[in-house]
Amino acid sequence: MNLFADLAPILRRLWRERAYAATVVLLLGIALAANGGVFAVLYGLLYKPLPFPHEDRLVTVSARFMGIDGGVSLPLLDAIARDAKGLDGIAGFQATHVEVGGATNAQAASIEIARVQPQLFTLLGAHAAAGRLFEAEDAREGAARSIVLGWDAWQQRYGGAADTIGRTIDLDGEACRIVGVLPRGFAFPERGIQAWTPLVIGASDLAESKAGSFGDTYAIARLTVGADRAAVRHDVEAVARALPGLQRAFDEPGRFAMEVGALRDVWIGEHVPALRLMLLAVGLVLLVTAANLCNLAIARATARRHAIAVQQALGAGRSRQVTQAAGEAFVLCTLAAGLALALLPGVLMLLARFELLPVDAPQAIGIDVPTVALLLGLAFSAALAITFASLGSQRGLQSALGQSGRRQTAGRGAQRVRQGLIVGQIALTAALLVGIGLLLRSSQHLLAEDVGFDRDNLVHAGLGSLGGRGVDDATRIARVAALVDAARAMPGVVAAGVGSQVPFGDNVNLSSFQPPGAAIDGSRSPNAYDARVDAGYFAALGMPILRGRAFGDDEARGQSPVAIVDEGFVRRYSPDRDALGRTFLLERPPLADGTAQAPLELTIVGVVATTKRRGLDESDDYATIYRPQAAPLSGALLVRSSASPDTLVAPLRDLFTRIAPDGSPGQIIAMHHRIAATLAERDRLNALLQGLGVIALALAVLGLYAVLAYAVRMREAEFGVRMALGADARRILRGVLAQGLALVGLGLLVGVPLVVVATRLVAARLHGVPAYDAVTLAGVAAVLGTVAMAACWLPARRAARVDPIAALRNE
Amino acid sequence: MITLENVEKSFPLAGGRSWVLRNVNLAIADGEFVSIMGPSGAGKSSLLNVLGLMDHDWQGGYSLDGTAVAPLNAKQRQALQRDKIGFIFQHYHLIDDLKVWENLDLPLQYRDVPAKERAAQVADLLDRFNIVGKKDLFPNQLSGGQQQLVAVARAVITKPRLLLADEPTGALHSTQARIIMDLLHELHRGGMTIVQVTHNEDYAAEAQRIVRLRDGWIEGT
Repeated sequence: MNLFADLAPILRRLWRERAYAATVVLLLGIALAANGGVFAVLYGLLYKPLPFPHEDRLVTVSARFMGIDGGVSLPLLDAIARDAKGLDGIAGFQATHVEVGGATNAQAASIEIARVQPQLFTLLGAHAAAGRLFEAEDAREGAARSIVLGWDAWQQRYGGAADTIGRTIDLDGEACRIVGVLPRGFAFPERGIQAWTPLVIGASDLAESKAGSFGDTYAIARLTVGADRAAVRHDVEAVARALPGLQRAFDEPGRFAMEVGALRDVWIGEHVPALRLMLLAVGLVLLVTAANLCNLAIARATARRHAIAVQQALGAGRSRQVTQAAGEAFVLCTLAAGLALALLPGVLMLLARFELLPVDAPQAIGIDVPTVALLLGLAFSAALAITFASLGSQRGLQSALGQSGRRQTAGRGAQRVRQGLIVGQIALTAALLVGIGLLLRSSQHLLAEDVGFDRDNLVHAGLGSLGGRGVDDATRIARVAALVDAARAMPGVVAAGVGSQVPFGDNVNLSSFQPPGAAIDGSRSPNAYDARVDAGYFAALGMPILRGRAFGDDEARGQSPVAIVDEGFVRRYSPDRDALGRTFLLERPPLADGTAQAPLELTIVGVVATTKRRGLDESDDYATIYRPQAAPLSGALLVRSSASPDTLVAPLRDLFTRIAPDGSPGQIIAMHHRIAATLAERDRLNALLQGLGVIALALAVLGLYAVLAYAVRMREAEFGVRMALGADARRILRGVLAQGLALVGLGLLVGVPLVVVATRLVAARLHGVPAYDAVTLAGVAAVLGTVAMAACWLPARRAARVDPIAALRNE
Repeated sequence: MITLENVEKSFPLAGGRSWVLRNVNLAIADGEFVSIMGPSGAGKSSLLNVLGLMDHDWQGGYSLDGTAVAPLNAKQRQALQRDKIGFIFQHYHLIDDLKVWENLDLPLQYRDVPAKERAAQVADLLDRFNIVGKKDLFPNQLSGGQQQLVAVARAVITKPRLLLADEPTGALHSTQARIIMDLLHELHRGGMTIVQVTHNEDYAAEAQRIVRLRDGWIEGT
C-alpha cells in the first residue's frame, strides 16, 4: 500500500465533503476535550506523583470531629511526635494571613503565609534556593523571628536580589529576618502561600487544657519504610486516647477519630466524587457522540455504495475499501484529537471556573502524557468504530449497481445497526438525564428543607473582628451592644439580635452537660450546641417560643442561669415530663490557667424549634442549649427587615465601619443567599451536568432525526405507493411518528439497567428523593418523548407531503 | 365511466410552456378495456395520473363514474380514488418490509375495514390468485411475475370499478407477462373497467380499443 497515494484521494474526498468532515471533527473534538479535561484533573489529583521525594510515604495526621477535619491540637502533635510508632518524622503547620508592611518597594498588604515546624521542609525534601531553611533554633520560644520567602514573593517584592537574605520584613508589626528563599514551584500547603515562618510551640501551648483545641494546626508525617498506614493510624489513635484532656472525646463512638491519610488527600477534598460523576457524564456524552458519528458514517457510506460498487466492478479489492474507510476515519479522528488538545486548556479553565479544579495542589494539573494518551486512545477507538460502521454498510455491493442513484438503501442489516445505535443513544441519554434529574430534585428538596426559622427578610452579619490588637473586651462588648442598638434603629428593620453561634454561621461550639434528672455518677455526659444569645435573638431569627418565654434584657445583661432548649433537647432528655422549670448542669472548660470550673446549673425557661446548624442536609445530630448573653464577642448579628434583606447589606457594612473602624466585619449577606451558598458546590456540579445532559439529549435527538429523515428519504417511493393504495397524509404521518417513538420506547426500555446503575451512582448524593423517584423517571421519559416527538415530526411531515407521482417517477 | 373534455396539462418554462397533455377528449365506457400507447414522453403516464386522481394540476373536464372531479377538494378526490380505482405499476411497488398477505391487507386497512373482514378477503384473494403458499414470503423472495401477481391482487382487493395499469408487463418476461395479461382479461370479464399503458403492440391489441398519444395529443382511437 502506498500511503501517500492512498492519502491524497482521501484528503480530496474529505475536502469535497467538508460539512461531513467538519461535523465529525467538531463533535468528536469537543467530546474528547471534555473527557480529556475531566480526566486530566482526576489524574492530577489521584495519580500524578506529588513533587516531593518519597511522596508515597508522606501522610496527613488529623483528628476527624463530627466528620470535619480538625487537624491536630498542639499537645496531640507533641504526643504523636514523641510516642507514635511507624513515623519517620512529623511536622505541624498553620496557614494564616498576616499584614506585611515596611518592606522595601512594598506597600502594606495582607499576604498568606504558613507557620511551619522546621522539620516540615525536611519531610518534603525542600532545599533553599538562596540562604537557608529553618533550623530547630528558629522555632524555639523567644528566638529572633525569621522568615523564608517563596520564589514568587522574592521575585515580586525584591526582584530576586541576592542581598534579600538578611533583610527584615514587618509581619503584623513585628520585624522578621529573611533567612532564605524556597525554589521556584515549591508550594505547601497551598499554592497561594508566599512565605513561611517557624511555628513556635511554647510550654503553655502544650497545657492539658489545650489538648482539645483543634482547627488551627495540621500535620504531615512520613511513614517509616514498610509501615502500614492502618497500623500507624491505630497507634496514633492510641496515643490520642492516652492524652489527658482528650480521653472524653472518644466517649461517643463515631464522633471523634484519628486519621492517617495520603498526603494528596489535603488537596483532593470534595472534588473527587464530583469529578468522577463528571467523568462518567462526559464519557456518556462521548459514547452518544460516537454513536452519532457511526450513524453518520453509515449514512454516508450508504450514499456512496454505487460509487464503491463501480470501483469494485473495475477491479478494486476489499483491501482498498478498508484502506479508504479506515484512512478517512483516522484522518478525521486525528484532526479531532488535535482539536481536543487545542480545546483542553479551555476545558480546564471552565472546570476551574466551576471550582472543580483545585488551585492549591502542589502538583501542576494540566495536560499530561496520560491525558494525551487517553485522548489518542479514545480517538483511535472512535476511528475503529467509524471504520467498522462504514465497512459494515458496504456489504452486498453487487445489488447497489442495480439501484438508482437516489435509492441507495443500505439493506436491513445496516438499517438495524443504525436503529440500534439510536436505541443505545436514547438509553445512555435516559440514564444520564435520570442521574441529573435526581441531583436537581435533591437540590430542590434541600432548598425547601425546613430550617427551623424564617429565612426570608433576614440578614446575617458576621461580627468578625470587632477591633485591632489594642481593643479590650469591654470595648468590644460595648461595640456589639452599640451595633445591635443601631441596627434596631435602622429604617426598615423589624428586629435585631445577636448570637454566638447562629444557624449557617461560622462558629460551632459544643458543651457537655448532665441532662435534667440525670444521676451525677461520673458517667458519660452528652454534648449539645451551646449558644449564647441576646434577648432579641429569637425575634430576629423568626423563631417562635413554642413553650415558656424568651430571655429578658436583664437576664441577657446579667447572663442569668436560665436556658432555652430546642425540641431536640426535650425529645431526648425530657420526653416524659414538661421541660419547663427543670434544671440541668452545663459543664464548663478549665480556665486558661488550668483551674477547673464547677458546672453551671441552668433552669429551662423556654422551648424553641430545632434549627439546621451547618447544612441543609444535616441530620438532627445535637440538641441546642441557648443561654442569655447581651453581647457575645463572636458570632453574628441577625437583622430582620420589612423589605428585601439585600437593601440592608450596604447600610450594615457602613454601620460596622462606623462603630468598629479598626475592625473588619464578617460576611454580611441575606440569610437565604448564605443558605443557598451551602449548596454552591452541588449547584456548580449540577449546572455542569445539566449542560452535559442537554448536549447528550441534543445529540441523541439529532441522531434520531437523522435516522428518520434518512429513512423517509429512502422510503419516499413506498409512501407514494401507500398513497396510491389509499393512505392519507395523516396515516403516513402517524406511521413515521410511530416508527420514531418505537425507537425511543425501545431505548427507554434498554436504558432501564443503565438507569439502575445511574441511580446507584448518585444515591449517596441524594437528599429527600428516593433513588427511583417517580417524578424524575416520568419527567425524563416525558422530556425524551417530547423532544423525540419533535425530532420525528419534521421527517414525518416530509413523508406526509410526498408527491406520489414524483416519488414513483423517481423510481 | 370516464369522460375527459379538453383536458390540458402543462408546465411553465422559460420562454413558454411545456405541454404534456393537449386538448384531450376521451370517453371510456363502463366495463371497457382500453390500451394507451405512444412513444416516450407522449404523455401516457401523465394521462394515467390524471385518470387515477393522483394529479390535480390540469385544466378541463373530467367525470369519473358520474362524478365531476374538478370541483372536488383533495380529501374528496382521495375518497373517490379509494372508492373507485386500483393501481398496478410496472415495478410492482410491493412494500419490501411486508409479507405477501400484509401487502394485500394494506389497502383494506386504509379503508378502515374491520380486521376479521380483512382477513377473510385476503384469504379469498390468496386463494383466487393461487398464491396461498406464498402468503408469508417477503416480496424479495418472489420472482418478478409472482410479485406482479401479488400487485394485481393488491390492486383489486378493494373491488375497484376502474383498474389503471402502468406498463403491467414491462418488467416481465413473456411467460410471466402472459399470465398477467390473462389475469387482466379475467378481471375485465368480471366487469372491471381497465386502462393499461403499454409499449407492447400485441398486448395493446388485446384490449378493446387503443388510444394513441403523441406530444400530448390524442392521435386517434
